[in-house]
Amino acid sequence: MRDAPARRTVGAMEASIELHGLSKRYGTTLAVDRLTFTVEPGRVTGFVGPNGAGKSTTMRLILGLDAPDRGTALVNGRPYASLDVPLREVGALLDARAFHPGRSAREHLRWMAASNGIPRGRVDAVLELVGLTRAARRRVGGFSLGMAQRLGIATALLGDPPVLLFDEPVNGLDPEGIRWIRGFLRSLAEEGRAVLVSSHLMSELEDTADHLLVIGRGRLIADTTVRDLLDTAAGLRFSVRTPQPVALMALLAEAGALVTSTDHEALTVAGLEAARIADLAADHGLRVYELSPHRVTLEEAFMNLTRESVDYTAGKAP
Amino acid sequence: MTRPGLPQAVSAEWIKARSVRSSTGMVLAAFAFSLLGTFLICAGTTTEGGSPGHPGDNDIVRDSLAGVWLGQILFAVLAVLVVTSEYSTGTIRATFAALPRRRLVLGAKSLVTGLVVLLAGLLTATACFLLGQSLLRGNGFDYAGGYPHASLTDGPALRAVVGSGLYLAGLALLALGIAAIVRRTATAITVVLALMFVPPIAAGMLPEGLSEPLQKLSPMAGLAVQETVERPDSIPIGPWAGLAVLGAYALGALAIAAFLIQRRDA
Repeated sequence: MRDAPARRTVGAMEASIELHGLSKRYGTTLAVDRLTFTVEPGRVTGFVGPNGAGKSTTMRLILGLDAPDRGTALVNGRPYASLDVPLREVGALLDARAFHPGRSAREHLRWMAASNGIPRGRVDAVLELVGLTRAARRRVGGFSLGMAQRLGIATALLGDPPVLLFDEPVNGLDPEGIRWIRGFLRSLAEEGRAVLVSSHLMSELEDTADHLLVIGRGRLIADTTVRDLLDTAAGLRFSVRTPQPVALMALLAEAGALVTSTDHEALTVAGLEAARIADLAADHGLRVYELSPHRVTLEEAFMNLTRESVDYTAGKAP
Repeated sequence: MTRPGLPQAVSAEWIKARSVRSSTGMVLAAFAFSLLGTFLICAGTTTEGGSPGHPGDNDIVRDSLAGVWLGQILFAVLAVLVVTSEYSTGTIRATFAALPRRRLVLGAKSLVTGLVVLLAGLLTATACFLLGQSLLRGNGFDYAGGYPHASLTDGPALRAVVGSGLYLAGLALLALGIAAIVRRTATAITVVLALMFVPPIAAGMLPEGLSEPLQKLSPMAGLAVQETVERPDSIPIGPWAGLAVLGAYALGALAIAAFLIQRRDA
């Protein structure tokens, strides 16, 4: 339940994150490489990339925890350090385990609230919001990862900020928790907030994110919508069902297509237009039962995009 | 909405300090450890021959406050943990995200820790003094044995007790500053203990020309504030000057920490 004052701030406030040529090097590793993007209000922006791609670093840079070597990160038009009441402008879940294990959930939220002059009543409100009311007085050290994530989300919401950053919020949640957070992220965006959510699994964001920022080795690979990404990745590939797969395969290959047999009656054809495939089959008296654009999952599209930027892949023995 | 300042930062640090059992436990442990130290020293001290080698000139005020010498270790560790536990648990990121003006955090931590240790230190020193005096009187350190009746209303005794509290607070600030510089618990404790104990030990091995300035210029010179009798093993510095030396160390460490805290990645 959102309490009444919770609705108040968002509409009128600016809500955006803007990065301009942001770079950060740790030792010899270029963690973030000239990142430029904008996170808009009113939608969930997915921030996806393989582990080690620079997602967490980017979030730390946005929050002013680490200083960039070059470039700027602005929140609501200002550098984080110059925000008047930071927790009222940006809420962040960075590392779900970053709590003192000996402190209770409620006391953790209480010191955070006190640090930004947020009324104490808000602490109980956010605990209720994430479903931790009954565990509020328990020490955080005994929390499951899922509970710690919920507490992290509560800390992000404490100041009812128009900009929210969540680093891998789905980690450790059970299926019910995952459903909950998806709906929750959507409702936060619908209230007009700018919501940036990172994940190393595209599938986690498939139904949640409106916009996608794909990052690999610190670089922005794609700044796109879920729809566009799928369309691009699908490209000119078609699924064809035919009772004469061998004959059709030979025919299409001769016409310059790249054909793979996926099932005993199914082919995947790349490099030819749908009409051309149909014409060729008709001209040679071959039957086609089905001709449709090849469907790729978001995960496949993501893998195609990031394959080259994955630092460590399994199974590549030297 | 007003920009958070020192009052908000102090309030947050106070909630942090109270809400973790280990910090309240450390204060109690430091208190108990100090009393134990005083008990061991005073229960075993007799007028016969006085302190080893110095018959008849026992400093009964200092002897009763000897426990502070032990308890100071725990107070220093407590102050180190105020900072390093945030780094080791990752809480420091939430802290700096909430208060990006990090010097406010350092200032608030110093204020809260300094005041808590000052208060706990005053209580500890008073308890040590009372326990020590009653034990010493029982061991013959009374009028009949040629010793004055030391009371908290005496100038020198009062100075020693209040000064012990100030000494512990100063030491806590030094420890906090070092912790904010090195950020790791083990490293910070090692550096603090080395600063405290290496100079007095080294002084014992060095010729007088070197040992005197070393004792004068080390943090533990602050313990001169406990001395009420001139003795050969006295710290060669005045009571308030000794505290000032410790204060300078604390300020120096905090100044370096303040310089670094805004510049480093969290």
